Amino acid sequence: MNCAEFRRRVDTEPLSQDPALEQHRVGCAACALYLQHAQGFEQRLHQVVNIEPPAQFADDILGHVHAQPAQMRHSRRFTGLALAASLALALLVAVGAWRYHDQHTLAAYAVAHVPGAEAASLTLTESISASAIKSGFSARDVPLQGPIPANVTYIHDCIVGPYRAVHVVMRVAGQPVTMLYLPSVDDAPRQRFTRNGLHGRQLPTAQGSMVLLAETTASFDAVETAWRTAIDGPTRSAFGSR
Amino acid sequence: MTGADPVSLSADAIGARSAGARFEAMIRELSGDLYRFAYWLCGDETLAKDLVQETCLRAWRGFARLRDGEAVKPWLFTILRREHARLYERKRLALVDVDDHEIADAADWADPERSGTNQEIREAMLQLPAKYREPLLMQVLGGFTCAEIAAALNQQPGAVMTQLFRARQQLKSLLGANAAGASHELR
Repeated sequence: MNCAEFRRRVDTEPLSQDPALEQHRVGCAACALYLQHAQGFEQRLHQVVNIEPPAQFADDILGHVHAQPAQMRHSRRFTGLALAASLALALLVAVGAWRYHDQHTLAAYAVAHVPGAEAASLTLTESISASAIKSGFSARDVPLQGPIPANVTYIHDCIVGPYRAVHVVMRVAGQPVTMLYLPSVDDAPRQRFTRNGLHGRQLPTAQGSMVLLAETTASFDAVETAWRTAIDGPTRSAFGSR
Repeated sequence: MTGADPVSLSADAIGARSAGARFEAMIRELSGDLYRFAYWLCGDETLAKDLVQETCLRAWRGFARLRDGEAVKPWLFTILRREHARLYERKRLALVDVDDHEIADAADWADPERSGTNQEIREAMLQLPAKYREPLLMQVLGGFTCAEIAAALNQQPGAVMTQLFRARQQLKSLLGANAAGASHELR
């Protein structure tokens, strides 16, 4: 390696540990000085670019990410969609009271929750252990009474609307089915619904309420039975849906 | 993940952390580097914050598809670069490139004590053309190798090495010009 090659390498990768650079450095005083100055500048450069982010930056970022459930489809056409959404919202405001009520139903909360910050939960395919599932429910003070369903791929304690919930996703015939168990919601009226392209079923359990969400309803009966048994126990669930 | 509710799952208790917890840990570890990269790309604190916010939103959408834990940092830097490019298109930011003139390879580094103040180095960095500043930042801030930068920029390693060389040559030139300008003012 000659001096020109050495200096070019230094100006490309000043902190390189290449033995060939070291070999030339020990044999050439001028290039050794060149390297010393280049590395000194590199240290200055590292100091200069290493600026402090704003205070609580990570907290702000995470708060922003998790506060954006309705804006996940961000694209180059977002500006046009935002304008259209604003016009639609103006119409909805005119409808007024009915809209307010509709958006504060359990079904609305549940559907708003699923495609939001936890959208990734629908793409998981690896099953999690029974002990993990039990722990997930115990975090909401819900001891499971019956056998735990198979093929659960996600569990987390969440806030759905104003309610604490256990958020479970399981795979049935390769498709994700979301089950939200809300221990503090008593006697949610049994009903089917479709919102934002998702099919849903809400129902009361022995204690609390459950909401199922999926792209099809094909597996709802089986999923409802499985989780009623797991949460309420075999005896209580045998009395069927309330 | 649970908003105002302080109750959360223990990672040890469930044996495997939820995607949300892993994402949060990733953001807490790398948000500083992302902010620094964003700032030096666009030169504006507010824009830098916006860039990082959009980057993290996109990262969260694609987080479940990310399997290789080692690839997180380059992945995030790539998203940020693309967001910066989109910002460029939307806002039509005016970025003026300095003349891309050749610098003699024989130009020496000044003694660090005479290579400009930190403010002068900052100004020189922001004057670098984007095509040199971007790989330089990925190397200095991100700690990426030439091969990693080349992969991220979809270029050949040799081209990246040339850009890194030119970046430092231009910094030398800009700092030398700033020093000459300052000395003129002092006369």
